[in-house]
Amino acid sequence: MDLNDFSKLPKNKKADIALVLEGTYPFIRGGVSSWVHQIICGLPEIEFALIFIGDKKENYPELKYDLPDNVVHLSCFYIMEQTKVPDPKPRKGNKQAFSQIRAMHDNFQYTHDINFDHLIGKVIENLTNHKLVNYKDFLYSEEAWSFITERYHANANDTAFLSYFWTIRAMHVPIFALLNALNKIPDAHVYHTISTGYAGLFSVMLRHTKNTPVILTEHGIYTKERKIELSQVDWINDAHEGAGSGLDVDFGYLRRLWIRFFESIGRITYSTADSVYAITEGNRRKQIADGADPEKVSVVSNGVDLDQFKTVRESRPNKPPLIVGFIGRVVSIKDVKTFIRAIRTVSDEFPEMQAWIIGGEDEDPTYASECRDLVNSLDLEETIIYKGFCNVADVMKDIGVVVLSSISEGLPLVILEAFASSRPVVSTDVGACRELIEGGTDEDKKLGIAGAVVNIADSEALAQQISRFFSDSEYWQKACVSAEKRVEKYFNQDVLFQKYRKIYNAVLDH
Amino acid sequence: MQLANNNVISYWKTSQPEIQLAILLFIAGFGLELWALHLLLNNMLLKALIIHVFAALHTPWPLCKFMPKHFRINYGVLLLLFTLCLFIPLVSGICLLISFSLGLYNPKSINKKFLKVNNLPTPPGEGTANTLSFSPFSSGLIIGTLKFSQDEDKRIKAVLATRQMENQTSIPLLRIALLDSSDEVRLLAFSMLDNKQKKIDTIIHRELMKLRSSKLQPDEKKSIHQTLAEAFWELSYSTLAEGRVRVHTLNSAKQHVIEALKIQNNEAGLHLLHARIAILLNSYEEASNALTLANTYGVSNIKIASYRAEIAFELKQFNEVSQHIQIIDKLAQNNMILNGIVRQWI
Repeated sequence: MDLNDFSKLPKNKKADIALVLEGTYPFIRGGVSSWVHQIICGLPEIEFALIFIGDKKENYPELKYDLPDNVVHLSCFYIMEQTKVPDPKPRKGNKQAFSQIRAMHDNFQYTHDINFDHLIGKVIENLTNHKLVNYKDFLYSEEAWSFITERYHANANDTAFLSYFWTIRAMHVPIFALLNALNKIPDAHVYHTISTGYAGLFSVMLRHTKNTPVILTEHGIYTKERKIELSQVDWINDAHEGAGSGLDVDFGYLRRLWIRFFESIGRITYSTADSVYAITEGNRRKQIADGADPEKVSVVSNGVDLDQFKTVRESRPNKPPLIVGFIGRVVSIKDVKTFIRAIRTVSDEFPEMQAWIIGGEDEDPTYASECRDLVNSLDLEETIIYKGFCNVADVMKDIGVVVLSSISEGLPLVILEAFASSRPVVSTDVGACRELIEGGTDEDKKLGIAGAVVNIADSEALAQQISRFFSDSEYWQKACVSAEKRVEKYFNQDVLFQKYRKIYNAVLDH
Repeated sequence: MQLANNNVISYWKTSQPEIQLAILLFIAGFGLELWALHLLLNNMLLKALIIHVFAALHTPWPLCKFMPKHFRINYGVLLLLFTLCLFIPLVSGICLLISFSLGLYNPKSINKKFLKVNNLPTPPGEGTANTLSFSPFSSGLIIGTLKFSQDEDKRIKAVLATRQMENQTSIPLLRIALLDSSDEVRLLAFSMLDNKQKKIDTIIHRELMKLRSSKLQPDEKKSIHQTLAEAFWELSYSTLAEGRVRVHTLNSAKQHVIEALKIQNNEAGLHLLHARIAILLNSYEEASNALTLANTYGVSNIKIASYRAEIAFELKQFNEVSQHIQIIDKLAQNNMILNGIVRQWI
């Protein structure tokens, strides 16, 4: 199938919902992708179009999900692909259009104008109306040059101009790639973006050019994750960094510029989206702190298909099987290495135990290979078994304890799946994990503790908690019962479907 | 015409037919100028002027064709050449052609040796004096900031400040940051710790791969075992490895140091490393023997005294502790921490 040209949508017909997805469904497996698939399958009466944004085509070679029948369109755009640069020619650039771009940047940097939305709308209008500002203007116009040099002198003259100039270029090229993609997008009644970032920015462009409502649902916090990634990457050439001393040592200007870029596009998305949904209360607060209007933000929790896990739930053994399950992609944010180190400790106490890593290794092959090296260097080749991607309901019956060692999460589906299988979870204290395991409200807390929570990157604490479940069957049974009760009461996926059906219908009925 | 199709600024690309056309035009222009001169001499002023203007129009384009390719030609240049040909008839075309040929094809050579540098004085601050041997950072201040500052940005800066520290000092601070209430601080500390770990893991993996080769000379094998022992030791010493993983790491370090010593038994540094690993594994007799060998092969008494004192302390032989401490008294005079220990025991 030509993945860029799949459409069952008749001409002149709008899709009900267009999902704008960045680097996830249907090419990558994971929590967000499972959620998207769950929503599409759970609302069969709604027709979905998928708009996929990736970096390079080579990173997304095949579909990881069978697309349900109600997916009527799939468009894929790759914003980091090499494209032909137009030949250099002198141009003046539109003064008025650039003055609006200046005002927008001032707004990002200094002020929080109440007319921010209007300003963004004007800038996007200018950019989509190619006569006012286009890619060539950005590359070669006198206005663009004077804008870049003026900003450089004002903010960054302790940084090499060449580094600054090329950073600005690299930062803006994907924006023009998105602008180019605008006219290839099918019409829809609603554009539903599943993150801020480039997907969010693209939805904002669609909001202004097609005058169509935009909904944002965030699972993690995109800006936060980018910030952490950018603080460590070594492709940012910040020679100035680390030259200071004491607590004044800070990020270099270029690194801060990249962080501010993602913060700004996050702010644009929050500001433009007609409604914003978080999956946990903590995330809702974070979105508000990042600039979302509290009136627009609400929480819709994840849910799980209880029937799918009914057999395993009902056949819970009396003693925990001595198998620890790690269910998730082998990527750095899941901190698989801490899990592996914890297994080194647990296996000294329970030599007959096994640890299963259930999830794909193809998303970050370098990290996956580092994990395998760690397994070898800790002599755990016999104890840790790589199962690859499996149906969770099928493997859960053999697992005694599920472990989640992530350093960042929203409301992880894997915990709900473990609970639906009547298994306790030992998790790091991230996202909504503590709420899930110990209970959120007072009423919820009365259901008991369904596992254990430890600090991130603490392999010893993780090992200690796993060992406790293995050595104390009564404690394990109690946690299993709490898990079962909690998921049945609060996280049935029917509630999730009802809420999204209501959200979509509210816009579709308009 | 070619010229009309060009943009205002373009690179002039001359093909063979163009050169032939240019020569023809230049000769035609020159011929027209001669004809205009003839008419002028016969007092036919108006006709001479018209023919001259026509001749002047023939000249600029061929002249441009004779210029080197890298020169940018635009309408301004053509206008200038036309003006020169118009106001300085006949002579200008020939002179311009000669000057282009001489000036542009044989540019003046660049004298690269126009500046001679003689013995420069050493800039201030770059003298031969020893550089600072201590870190300018205070871990106390960083701990205080991480534990008590309400300002998240300050805590992030405190985490970033640890980049300037030795692993052994920075890692415990990063572990404190892992407990921070803010996601940003926690995740930053995590990724910094992970990077440190990754650097050492990469060395271990690389050396283990080398070790699999069957064509290794004893020297190479010894060097690989030594690097592996040091890398495993670093994981443990820097406190990156904890709990059972630390024990496993120390055992791996010990295994490689023993392998390296099997190949070259007289290396004092390896015996000392063996002793330090054995101390952390609570194998005091093994550590003591390794220290004796380290001493035999060249490590000074003063240097091993502190380790002997540590072993004696762990074995609760407190009389021996003070004996060993006395040996390091001299060494301790310039070291605040050691000096405190010495004063405690003597």
